[in-house]
Amino acid sequence: MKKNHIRLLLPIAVLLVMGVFLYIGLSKDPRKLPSVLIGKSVPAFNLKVMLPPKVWPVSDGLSLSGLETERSVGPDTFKGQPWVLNVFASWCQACLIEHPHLLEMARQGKIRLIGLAYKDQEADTLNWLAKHGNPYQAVIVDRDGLTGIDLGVYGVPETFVMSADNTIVHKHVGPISAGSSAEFLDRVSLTQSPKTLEGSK
Amino acid sequence: MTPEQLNPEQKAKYKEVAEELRCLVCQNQSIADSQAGLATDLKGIIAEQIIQGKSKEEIKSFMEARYGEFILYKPAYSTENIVLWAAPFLVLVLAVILAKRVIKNSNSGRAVSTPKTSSPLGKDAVQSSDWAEALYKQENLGKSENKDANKDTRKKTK
Repeated sequence: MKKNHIRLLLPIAVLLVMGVFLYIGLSKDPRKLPSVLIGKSVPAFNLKVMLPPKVWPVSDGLSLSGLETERSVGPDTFKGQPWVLNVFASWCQACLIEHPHLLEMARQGKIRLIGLAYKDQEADTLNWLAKHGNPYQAVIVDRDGLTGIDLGVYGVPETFVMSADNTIVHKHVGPISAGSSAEFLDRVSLTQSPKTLEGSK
Repeated sequence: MTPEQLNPEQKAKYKEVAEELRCLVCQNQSIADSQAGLATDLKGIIAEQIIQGKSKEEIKSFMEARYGEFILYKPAYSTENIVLWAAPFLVLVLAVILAKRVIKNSNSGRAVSTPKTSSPLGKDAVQSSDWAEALYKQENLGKSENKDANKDTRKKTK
């Protein structure tokens, strides 16, 4: 008798387990893909730099010295301290959602924020930053989107956290929102204190 | 570089690659089908790499290195994907086993009326003579029990 009970309950159990997985699947965003580049070094690029006026002064330790506008730079320029690369564009609507949060982070002066203007006209980028405020210490111009492809960018905005030795440690897909900005800053500060980083490895 | 600039032979190869890659913006379309900006860029890269003489595999691994396995419509046969590739076959085997059992059990239903059939319940089941005896006892006792005594007996002997 007992065996038969189990036999009857088994399909229900299987169904329940499947239900749990399907339910979890419902709340997941299929458009958020894990980056394969986590743990790899920042891909090489050679992009023109723009230095639009910043809204807030950045503390000395985090500033970039010797950068000139119009010059082309590679990833090594930003090496030495952890940095954050935010992929944005003036044509990107979702970027407006995260922009206030980036400005806030810049105002606190805790992160070295570099912007990557993705497939955008330079004049449009500059106008957009003049209008909404510039949180970036420097903006690199990816006119044809090829660096974006090397970074595995498949939508704008995306934000990468790079370690001091130019390893990609984290990627945030989509706008950094009120809900996710604290978590994002945690990731950045983890990267900034190497001890904790090693502990978490 | 656009795909239109390719010669027919290159175009055929281009089509093959672009159809095996998923567009990451509109995920249910291949790069070949998609009109999204990123897909157009990736088409250009595929065309360029074909002109450079790169193989299909080389182009696909270029994409995979940037966007992950998700971009491949056909995932690799790797240990990580073993569940993915093996699951349909496991389910098939399970279904066959289950089907066999069900068929055997329904045969045993007939066995009640034709006792010649040996016990269908497998190795761990009681011998057919014991089983018939139990059935006989049950039927004698079973006058107060429900009409489904046949089925019930089969279960009880197990």
